[in-house]
Amino acid sequence: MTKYLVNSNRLDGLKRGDIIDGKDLGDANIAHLVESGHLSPQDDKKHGKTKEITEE
Amino acid sequence: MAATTTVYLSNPALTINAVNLTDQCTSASLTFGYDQLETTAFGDTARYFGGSAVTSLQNNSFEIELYQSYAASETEATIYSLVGTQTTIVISPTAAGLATPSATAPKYTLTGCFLASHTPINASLGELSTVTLTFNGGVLTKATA
Repeated sequence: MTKYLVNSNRLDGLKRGDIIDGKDLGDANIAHLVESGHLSPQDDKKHGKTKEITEE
Repeated sequence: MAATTTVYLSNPALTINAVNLTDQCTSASLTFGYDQLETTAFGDTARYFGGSAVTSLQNNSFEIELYQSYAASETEATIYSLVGTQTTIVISPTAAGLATPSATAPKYTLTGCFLASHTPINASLGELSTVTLTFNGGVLTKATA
């Protein structure tokens, strides 16, 4: 499920910086909240681990 | 014509599509009603409406006045994209009622109400700009616990 970053302090029970998923806001229209700037969808791609290589 | 009961709230706390715009609100009026269906029949000596065997449709509306603000996450950003769509309004006589409704601070939820129009520019010289919105339709539920 897509995660969203909260961009405003106007969402009840949430604060700016919270990460939520769509069901956290009940039946609110998520697309409109994104369009109006209250939420930003988060990229849920996992970043690969980096391996440190040292030359001898 | 619907039979209606109107509740006027002078200091409500409310959300529109989960966005709390209480601090931009100056008035709100929630009207709850059902369509008035006539059930008068032959033999009656007066007109009658409704009855135990008649289920009419809810006919609700919600009118609100907000200060206009074009800043991020404020009135214009929140309302503009809702025009022409259905949304959910939650309102209570007190802020506490939104989170923990009670008999003395009920929470009303109007789900699926339609915003037909909005006035993005509504200003006069020397006055704060306001917008008046009317949401029509939707089903109203009342929570007291």
